[in-house]
Amino acid sequence: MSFKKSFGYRGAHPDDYKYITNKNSISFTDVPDRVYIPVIQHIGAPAKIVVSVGQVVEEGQLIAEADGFVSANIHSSIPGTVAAIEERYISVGKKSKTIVIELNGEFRKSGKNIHLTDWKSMTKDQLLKKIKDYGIVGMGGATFPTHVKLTIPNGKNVDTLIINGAECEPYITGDHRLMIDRSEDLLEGINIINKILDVRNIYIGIESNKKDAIKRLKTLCLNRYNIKVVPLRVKYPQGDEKQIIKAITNRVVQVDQLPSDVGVIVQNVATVIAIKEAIVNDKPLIDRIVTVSGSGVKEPKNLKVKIGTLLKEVIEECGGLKEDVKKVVIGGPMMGFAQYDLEVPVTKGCSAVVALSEDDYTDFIPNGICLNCGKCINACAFGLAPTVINKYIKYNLFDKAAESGLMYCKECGACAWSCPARIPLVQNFRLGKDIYRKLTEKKKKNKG
Amino acid sequence: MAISFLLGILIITILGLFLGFGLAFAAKIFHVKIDENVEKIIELLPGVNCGGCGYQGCAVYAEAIVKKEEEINLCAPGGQKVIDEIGSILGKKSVGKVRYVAKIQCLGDDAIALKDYKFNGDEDCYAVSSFFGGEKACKYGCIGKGNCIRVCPVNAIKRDKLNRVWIDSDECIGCERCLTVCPTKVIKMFPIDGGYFVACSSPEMGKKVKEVCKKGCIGCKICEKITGDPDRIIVVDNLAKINYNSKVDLRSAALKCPADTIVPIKNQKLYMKNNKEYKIEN
Repeated sequence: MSFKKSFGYRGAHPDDYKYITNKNSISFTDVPDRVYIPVIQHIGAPAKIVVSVGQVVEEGQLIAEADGFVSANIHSSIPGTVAAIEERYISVGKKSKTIVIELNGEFRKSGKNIHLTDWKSMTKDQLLKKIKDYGIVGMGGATFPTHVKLTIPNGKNVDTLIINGAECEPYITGDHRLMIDRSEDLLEGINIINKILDVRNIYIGIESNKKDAIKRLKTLCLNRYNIKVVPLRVKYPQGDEKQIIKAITNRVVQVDQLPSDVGVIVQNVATVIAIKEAIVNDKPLIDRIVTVSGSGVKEPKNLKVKIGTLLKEVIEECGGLKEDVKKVVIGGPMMGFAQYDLEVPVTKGCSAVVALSEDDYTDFIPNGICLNCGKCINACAFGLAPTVINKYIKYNLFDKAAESGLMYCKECGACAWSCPARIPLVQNFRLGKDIYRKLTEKKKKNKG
Repeated sequence: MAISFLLGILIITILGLFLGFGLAFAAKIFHVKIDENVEKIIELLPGVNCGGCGYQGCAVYAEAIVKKEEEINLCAPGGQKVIDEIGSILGKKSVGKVRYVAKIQCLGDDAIALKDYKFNGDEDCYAVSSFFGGEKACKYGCIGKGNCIRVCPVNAIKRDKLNRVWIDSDECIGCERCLTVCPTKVIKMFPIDGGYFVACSSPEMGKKVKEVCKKGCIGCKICEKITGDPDRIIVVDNLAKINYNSKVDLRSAALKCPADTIVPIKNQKLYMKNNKEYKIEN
């Protein structure tokens, strides 16, 4: 066994449950009759709606445009008419304006031979503009607009590109299947990004529980490309930007730094393929791979789902839910959000739907008491002390919590997973962050 | 032996005298004049340090009354009695402002309000409300996790066995602390002599309200018709609104309300007890 790289001694080791879906190739869903496309699908300002009720839209037509630099365009995933624009709850538990489109008319692009664009003759700015126009965001779950990430500020020197295929979150196998089923597209996408960034080193980091993907990419890259495939140790949160940089290049990104400060750009596998599709096939980001898995689903699958499809239709595609389902989570069991209602649309950041039956479900202990055992400190890959921060939040000392690094928490869930008292640490941190942000805004207002 | 014994006593005596005179001088030189009135007023004030007057505590307010000539009618918990007593010390006369009490404009509990999901996590109203707008299907009502109960300085906020939170007017001192911690802004202030308040905040249509909660204002306008005075009570946005400048009696309207959402301000305790479905824990 060869030596596998990792980010240090911290982190957690949850069971990965990848065996449920990692042999199933990506399958397609039926076209939904109605799609519900929220305008908040990315980090940054919500997109501005540019269509009105009753308007006929085509497949891939721009329906909401980016409002500012850190924002992303949103396109219609089906041809049809705009039936309504309403406020709906989205999967993260907040309300967002949603464009409802009813299916009507024909698909002009999907499944048809279209002219392939020759990207080699395009300039760097043209490529970036196309990525921006086609609304590409980071598909790993954080949904940070990709054009912002690829625009390197003046004075910074980026020499390394890392393709993130770690996929450390349990159950999710979308990136794994993409690396096997569409490895040629992946490599072409990497070349496109390389044209924009012009870097010396390109790595693909893959956790070693995806042996077939590592093997396939290694044989493909052997003679043709200057790309190194790096097997990584299976550990949570290996797929986080900072951790994968530490694991592969041994460079440390400080808490207040960005990856570009140490000369690295990280892109997710699914994002790279979306970039390739946007630039070569002229296809905006209108669908994504969703892993439907867990003990509560009848036929677990990796599905290609149109953005805006309701969760209930996605689950129906997989044979429906079993009777003893206790919880349905969007976006993986560690970082995801539990849903009470299946009438929630799939968004650009929705990487998985996990349904947990009674066997896999553990109940919450109300008023769990901290044992000061320090397991959360060992688990936190970002070097924070979750137990201390949690106590500050409990006693409403938000300034002190922020001093202890509350805002640097990435909500990965490793601390809460390893807590023997089952204290809902991540929930409390989310709450603390929300309140701290509100308080600082208030302070700014009072000053100004 | 005897000499050393006496010497010890002598040294201690001299030292004691010296230090004693020192202290006496210090007391004279560094004497701080404390106004008798301030001390008297501090004793008169209720001492709950609620901050309702706008000062950090009762002692600071007492000082402000004497030194900054602050008005003497700012103490809500003390009421007219304290104002009169302070007035007799300072030779001033003042009438207390109308006493306001906080009321939760929601009656939904575990039994009558439909729930969308059960929140698994720490009991905090903000945490619950940021997740799909709260557990209840009605997103305008009380979250029921008791942030207000924790900040109330006089324990005036009670909780039923069925997780309904309500405020006892007899105990409420009107400090408005609970208003600041409520994420849905369902707590509002009402004048104690106002008679009745509408215990629902949902602006939805009647049908939608009925689907999710048995005790919601459906905007049926019965109260408007019975009172016959649009200056007193009027239905705006499917929700009855009471004007507290008018003094028209609302008793008959309250009795006729089909959802029982017009609740007496003074005797909410009685209202809660008469209702056989609820037994009060505290």
